[in-house]
Amino acid sequence: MKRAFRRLGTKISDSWTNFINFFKVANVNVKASMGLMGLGQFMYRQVGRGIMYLGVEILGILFFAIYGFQWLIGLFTLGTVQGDPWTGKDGDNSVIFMLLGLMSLILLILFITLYISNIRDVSRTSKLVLKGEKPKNFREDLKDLLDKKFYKTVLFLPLLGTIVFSVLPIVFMILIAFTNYGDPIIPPVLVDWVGMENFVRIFSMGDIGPTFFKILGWNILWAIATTLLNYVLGLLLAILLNKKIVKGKFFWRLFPILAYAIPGFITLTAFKFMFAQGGPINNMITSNGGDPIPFLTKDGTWWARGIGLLINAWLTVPSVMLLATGILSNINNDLYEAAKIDGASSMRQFKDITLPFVVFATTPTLITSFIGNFNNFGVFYFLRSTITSDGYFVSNDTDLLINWLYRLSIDKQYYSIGAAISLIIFIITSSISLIIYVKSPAYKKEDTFR
Amino acid sequence: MANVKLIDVSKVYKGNVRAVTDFNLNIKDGEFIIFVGPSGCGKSTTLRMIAGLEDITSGKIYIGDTLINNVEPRDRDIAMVFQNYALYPHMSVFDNLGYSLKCHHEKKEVIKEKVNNVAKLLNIKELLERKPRELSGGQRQRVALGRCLIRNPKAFLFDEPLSNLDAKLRVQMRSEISKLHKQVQGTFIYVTHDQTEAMTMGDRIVVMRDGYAQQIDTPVNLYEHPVNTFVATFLGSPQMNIFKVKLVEDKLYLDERTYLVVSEKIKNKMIPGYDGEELILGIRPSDFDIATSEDYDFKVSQIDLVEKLGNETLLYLDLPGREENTIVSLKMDMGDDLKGPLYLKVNKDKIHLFNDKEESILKINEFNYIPVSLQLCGEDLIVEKEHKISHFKDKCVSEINEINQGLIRIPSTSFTLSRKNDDDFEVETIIKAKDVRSDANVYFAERKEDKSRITFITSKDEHLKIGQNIKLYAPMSSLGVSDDEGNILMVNDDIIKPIIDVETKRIGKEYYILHQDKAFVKAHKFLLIEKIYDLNSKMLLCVINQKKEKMSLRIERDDDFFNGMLLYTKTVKNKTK
Amino acid sequence: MNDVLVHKGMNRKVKRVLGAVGIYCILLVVCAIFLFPCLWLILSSFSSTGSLYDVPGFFPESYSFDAFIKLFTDTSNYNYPKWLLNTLVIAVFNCIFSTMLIIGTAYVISYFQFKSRRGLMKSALVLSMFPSFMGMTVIYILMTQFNFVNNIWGLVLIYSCTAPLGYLVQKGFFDTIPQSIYEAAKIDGATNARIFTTITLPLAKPIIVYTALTSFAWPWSDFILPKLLLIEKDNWTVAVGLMQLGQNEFARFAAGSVFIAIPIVVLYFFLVKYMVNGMTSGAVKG
Repeated sequence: MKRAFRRLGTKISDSWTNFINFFKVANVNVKASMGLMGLGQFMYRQVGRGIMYLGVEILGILFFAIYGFQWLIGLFTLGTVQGDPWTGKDGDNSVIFMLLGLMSLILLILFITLYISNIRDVSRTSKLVLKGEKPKNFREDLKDLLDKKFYKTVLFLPLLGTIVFSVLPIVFMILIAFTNYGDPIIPPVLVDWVGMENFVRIFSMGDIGPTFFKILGWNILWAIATTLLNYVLGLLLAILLNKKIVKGKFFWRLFPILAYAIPGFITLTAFKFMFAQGGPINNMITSNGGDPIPFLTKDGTWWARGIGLLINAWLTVPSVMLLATGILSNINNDLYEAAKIDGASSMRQFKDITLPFVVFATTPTLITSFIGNFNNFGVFYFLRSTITSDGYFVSNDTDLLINWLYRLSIDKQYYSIGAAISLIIFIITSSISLIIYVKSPAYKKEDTFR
Repeated sequence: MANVKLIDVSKVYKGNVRAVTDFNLNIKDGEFIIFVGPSGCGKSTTLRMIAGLEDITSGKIYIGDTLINNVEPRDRDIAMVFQNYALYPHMSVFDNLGYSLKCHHEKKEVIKEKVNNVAKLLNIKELLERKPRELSGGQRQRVALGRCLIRNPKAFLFDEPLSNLDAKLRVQMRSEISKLHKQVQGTFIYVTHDQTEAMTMGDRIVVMRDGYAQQIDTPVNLYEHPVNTFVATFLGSPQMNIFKVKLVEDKLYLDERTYLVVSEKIKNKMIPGYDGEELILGIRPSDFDIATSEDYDFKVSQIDLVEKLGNETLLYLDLPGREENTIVSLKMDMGDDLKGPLYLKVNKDKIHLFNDKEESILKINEFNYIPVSLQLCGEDLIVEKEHKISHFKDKCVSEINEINQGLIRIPSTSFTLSRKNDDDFEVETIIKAKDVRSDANVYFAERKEDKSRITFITSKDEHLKIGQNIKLYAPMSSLGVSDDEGNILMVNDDIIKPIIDVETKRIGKEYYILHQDKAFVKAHKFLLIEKIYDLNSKMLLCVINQKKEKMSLRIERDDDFFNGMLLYTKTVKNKTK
Repeated sequence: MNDVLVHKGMNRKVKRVLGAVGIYCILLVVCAIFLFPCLWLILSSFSSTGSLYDVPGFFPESYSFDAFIKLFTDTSNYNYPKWLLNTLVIAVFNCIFSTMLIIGTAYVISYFQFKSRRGLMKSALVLSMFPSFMGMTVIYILMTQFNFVNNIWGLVLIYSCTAPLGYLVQKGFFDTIPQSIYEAAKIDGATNARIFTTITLPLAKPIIVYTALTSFAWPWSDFILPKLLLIEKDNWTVAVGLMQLGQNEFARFAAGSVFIAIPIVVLYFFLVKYMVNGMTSGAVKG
C-alpha cells in the first residue's frame, strides 16, 4: 500500500517535471495556444483548426459565464427556492438542477479535454514543422476524417448516444443514491444531499434492512441454483443431441429452439395462467376432487420459488444447449480418435476431452448468465408482481433485488433508496464477475479481451 | 519505377520490443532484392514499413526522391502481394484486378483494357468472371500478381508470396516471378524465409536476424563471404560444417594432431591479432574432396551414413573439432565400395574463419592505413611533404595546433592503376593474392616501403597477376586523416564546422544539449542528427544539418543516440568551461 | 474362445439397442416438455370461449376463429391493430438505426488501433455491468420531468442509443476478416471510408442481416421499457398490451401471442446458425 502511494507520488512529480519541461521547451506558437486556444494554429496558417478551437473557447466561456457556472452551483445546492403550486409560485426544480449541473460538469470536462488537445495539436505540428514537413491544412483535416481518422467519424454518434442514454443516467442514478429524492420529497419539494443516509437505512435494522438481507439471501440462492440447473440441463441436452446414435438432429433441435424463439413475456404470462388459482392445473385437481395447490399465491413461497426455477430452465436451457452444441462441434474429432486408440472408455472421453473443453469455452458465458440470473427481472415480475408478503417492505418472498428495486422506484417512487440498491447490485455483480473472470481458465490461458 | 532508400530505419513496438534496428539499404531502380531470415527476424516488418502498413519508429524511407515516412500507403504508389493473397472474396477476378484503378478514378474503358492486358500476360483470361474461392492456389497467386502489375507502381513488394503453395507449384511460380521481373523491369522487394528462393531469385539478398541486417550482398558473395556464422549456416544446403579450432601461427588445430594450413589468400584477408586464439572454422560440404593416402587432410576410418542424391553423394562422418556428424558432399557416385580408410582433402582457399563472437575474421579491408609525416601549414595540411590537403582546419573535427606524424586512410575502392591527377598519392606494391567476387576483383598486396598490407578493389575487367609489381594511385580528395593513435582528425573531404563540445542531458525521453558557447545556433531549437561517427572510444561525432550547412558536435558516447534523432538545445548560464 | 467373442458381440449389440431406445425416450420427453406449453397456447387461441375458467382441463372443448376475429375487430378496449402498427414502426426504425450504430461501432473497434480503444472497450464492459434497469429508472424520471412519456419515438431513440454497447458479437465477426484484405485495399489506393463501403460492408452481409433481424425482433418482445414510457393505451406496443389481458381474456391473449410469435419463431429458425456462431465467438472472445 505504502509502496503504491510512493509510486503514485513519484508519478505525479514526474509528470509535473515533464510538464515544466514541456512548457520550457514549448515554442512561441505552443505558448500562444496555451494562452488563447487556436492562436498557435493560426500562426501555423491552419485557419480551419484555429477557428474551430477559437470557436470552442469563445462558446465555452460564453456558456459558462451565462449558464454553466450557475448550473454547477445548482448541482451543489439542488435549489434554494421552494415552489408552491397553490399560490402559483415558481420554485426551483431540484431534479432539473441536478441534471443541468451534471450536464455542465460533463461539458466542463469536455472543454478541458479540448483545451489539452489544442495544446497537443499545436506541439505536434511544431515538431512536424521542425522535421521540415508542412502543417496540415483544413482540407487535409477533412480528408483525414474519411481516412486516417475515419473511426472518429463513425464513433461520434454511438459515443454521443451512449453518453446521453447510458453514462448520464448511470451517473445520475449514483448521485440520486446520495440524496433524499423520493416520495414524498418530489419536486416541487426541494431535494437535498444526505450523504450515506440511504445506505445506512438499508444496512440497519429499521424498516428496510431486514427486507434487504432476506431478499439478498434468496437472490444469491436463486442465481446459483438457476445458473447451475440451466447449465447442467443445457449441457446434457446438447451432449445427448450430439450423440452419433441420434438420427434427425435438426428435427429434435427444433423444439428447444421453439421455446427459445417465443418472446419471453408470452411464455411467462402463459405460465402464470397455467399455474393460476383458476388455471388448468388447479382446475384438473379440483375436478378430480382435490384441493387447489397455492402455486403462486401469497402462501406458496417455495411452490412459487420452485416453479420460477423450472420456468426459467424452460426459457434458458435451449440457449445453453445451442451454445454448447456450437462448442461441441468445434472439438477436433482427432482428439476422440486418438483417445479411442489409447483405449479410453466413452465415459473417460467425456471426462477428459468433452468436459474440460466445454467448461473452458463457456466460463465467460457462465459468468454472464450468472449475472443475468442475478438480475432476472422477468420471471417473478410476471408470476407474482402484485403480491406483497408480510415482513417485507414493498416486496414479497420471491422478489429478487431487481424486482424490489422496480417496485420501490416505479410503483412507490422511493427513488433514492432504489438508486442505492442499484449501486449495491452493481457492486455485487461486478465484483463477482471480476473475481470469476480473473480466475477462469479462459482468462488465464489467453488474452480473451482482445 | 524508382529506387528505394532506407536510412537508419528502426521499429520499436510497444513494451520496447525492437523488431528492426538501424536498417540501411539502398535499393536500385529495377533491382530484385530479397529479405531473408528466420521467422521473427524483422524482414516482414521492414517490408511493411516500406508499404506504410507499419509506422516507422525512427529513420527515413525514400521512394524515388520523396521522403515517405508520413505518406499514406495509397499515396506511395507501390503494389504488394500478400502471403494469403488477400484477394477481395466478394469481388470477381475482374473487379479484384480493377479495384486499384477504380480507387484512382480511372475510366471504365481504361480499366477494362488494362485488366484484359494483365489477364493476357498472366494467362488468367478465362477466370475473369470467377470469384476467388473458385480458384486454385496457383490461380489466386496469379490474380494477386495481376493486381500489382496493373498499376505500374514504383515498387513491387512481396510478403512470402509462395509459402502457401505446394512444392511443385512453388518452383514454377518462382521462375515465373523471375521472368516477370525481367519483363516489367520493376523494383522488386521480396520477403521469404526460404533460402533457395532467396538464392535463386534475388539480385541482392538482405540476411536478417533479430531485427538486424546481418549482411547485404549478392547471392554469390553471401555464399562465399559470409560475415558471421549465422549467415554462413543459414545459406547453403546442406549446411556448412562448423569446427572449433585453435590458430597457432599459420596452422588451424582441430585437435592436438590434426591441423589445416592457412593458405596465402586466407592469410591476406585475416584480421591480424588472433594468433594463439580459439576460432571457429567453417567448411562447406562441397569444399571437401577425395584425396590420396599421400596428400590428405583427414583420414576417416568410419562413415556413419551415405545418402545418394543422384548428382551428388552425401557422407556423414566424424571429424575432430566437432561433436556432431560432419557432412561431406562429393560430386560423384561413390559406388558401394566404401571399405577401408577414406582420405579427404579441403579446398583451403574456401574455408571460413570466425572469432569467438561468431563474426568473420576474413575481411577485405575497407580502408588502408598508411603511416605518413604530416605538417600543418596555415590552413592546410601537407602530407609526406608533397601532397596538400587544403582548408584542413575547416575539415578537422578536433582542435590541433601541431602535428608531425599520423595515418592517412585510403579506401580500398579508391585506388586506380593509373595516375589521374598530379597530386595523387602513390603506393608501390607487390600483388600477393586475389579474391574474385561477383562484382569485383579484390587484390591483396604488400607495400614495398614497409611490407604493410594493402587491399585494393578493381572492376572485374582488370586482370593482374600474382607476384606482379604495381603502382597504385589514390586521389587526395578520397583521403581521411587520423593521428598516430587512431583518433579521427578528418572524416572526409566535407567541410564540417565548427566543432563544439557539448554536454547532453536526458530528461524523460528527450535529450537536451546544454551549451555555454556563444550560441552557434539559437537556443530552444531542435536539431536533427544526420549522421553519427565514432570519434574514439569515448566520444561520438554527430553531424547535424543546420540551414543546409553541416556542423558537428562532439558528444560523450551514449548508446541511445541514433541517426535521425532530435536534440533540443538549451542555454545554461553560470557554467564555466 | 469363439463363443465368448460372439457372446460378447451379442451383448454389445443388445446394449447399443437398449441405449438407443433410452436416448430416444428421453428425447421424446424433452420435446414434449418444450412443445406442450406452445401447443396449449395455440389450441387455446382457437377456443370458442374466451375465459380461462370456462375450460375444465388444459384444452378447450370446442374450437373457432372467434378470438382472432375479435382481436382485429373489437378494438374499443384493446386496440390490437394499433399496437401492431406501433410495434412495427418502432421495430423498423430501431432496426435501421441500431444496425447502423452497432455495425459502425463494431467495425471501428475491431479494425482501428487508436489510442483510446482499450479504454473504450473497458468502459463498455463496466457500463454493461450496471443493471440495465438502473439507467431505465432514471430515464423514466427524466422523461416524466420533461413530459416526454407516451411517445414511441422516444422509445426508438433510447433503443438505438443504447444498442452500440452490445457490439461484441459483431466485433467477433469483424475480427475474423483478415487484416491483409484491408491492407491490400489500402495499398490499392482506397481510403478507409472507401474500404468500409466497398470491402467491409459487402463482406459483413451475414452479420448485418443478423444484427438487423435481432434489432427488428427486440421491440416485439421487450416489455419493461415500453411499459414504463408508454402510458396511453393507444401508444402501447403489442407486448405491453398483451400483458394487460386478464384471465377472462385468455383466448384473446393466446390469439394475439400466436399471431406475433409465429413470424418471430420463423425468423429465429433462420437465424439459429448465426446466433450460435455469435454466441460461441462471444464466448471465446469475452
